[in-house]
Amino acid sequence: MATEIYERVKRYLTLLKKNFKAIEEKSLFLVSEKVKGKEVIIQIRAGEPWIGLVVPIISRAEIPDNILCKVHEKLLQININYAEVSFGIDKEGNVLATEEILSDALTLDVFLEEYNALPVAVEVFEEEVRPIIKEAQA
Amino acid sequence: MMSFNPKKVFSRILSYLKILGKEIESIDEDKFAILVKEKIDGGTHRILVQLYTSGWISTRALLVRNETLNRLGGNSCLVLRYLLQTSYRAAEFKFAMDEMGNIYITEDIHISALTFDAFDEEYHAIPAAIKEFKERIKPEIEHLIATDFEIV
Repeated sequence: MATEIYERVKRYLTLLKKNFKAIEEKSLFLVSEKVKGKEVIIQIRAGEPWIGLVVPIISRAEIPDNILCKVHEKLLQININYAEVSFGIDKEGNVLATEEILSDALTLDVFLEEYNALPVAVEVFEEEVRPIIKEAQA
Repeated sequence: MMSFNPKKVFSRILSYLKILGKEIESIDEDKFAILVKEKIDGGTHRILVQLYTSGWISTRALLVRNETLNRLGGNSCLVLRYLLQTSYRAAEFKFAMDEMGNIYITEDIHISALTFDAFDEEYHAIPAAIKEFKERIKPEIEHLIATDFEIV
């Protein structure tokens, strides 16, 4: 059965006219967004006490080994320079941007601010990290 | 981005810290920054709470000085990778690095979510994360790099 938080997130996505797929049994939403002409999928897990928002940024395989450390350093620097951006890496080394909302603090305004931070993270990555990777590949 | 009066929000943050009985070391009204002294596990840590004009409030504490990382040489890369993995797993905080290479533990809250209860929870995520870092993450890093790892 869908939780109240799941229903609220679904309502917000509908009100915001987002293009999304709801997977109720996993309390999961997959939202399609266009950032700088590229499609990205934002995953929203409507859990409690945390609602987790994640966007995959780049796979480990796309980062050359010789600049991996430099890329990680840059991601940590971005984490301090942009309050709304939070980069992390999963077990496999893929880079993701995440946001979390305390379910007790969930309102449309809060949801929108946290949600909008993810396309910002994609943009910041493209502007500040992608050139390092491209240069190494050249 | 929503418009807001930073002076009003800053004064609200200050009042929340006072209600929580925090020891305020300094207040910078121009930078909307407050430095709070916290005793954690027998050590004294300084937590910076700062309001940005973007509408985000950042709560941050210095965790590892750059010289500690520099001393590790190539092993510092293992530490950075571990910190990013932990940032991904943790809902309440993230790790970050300044341009000097110092490592911080940080947590951000948007003013649209700023209530006393939310601030209380998010602020205390930092001392809790420092404690967790000392007790769990530091030994894991030391195991990873096979040497002592000094934190603030």
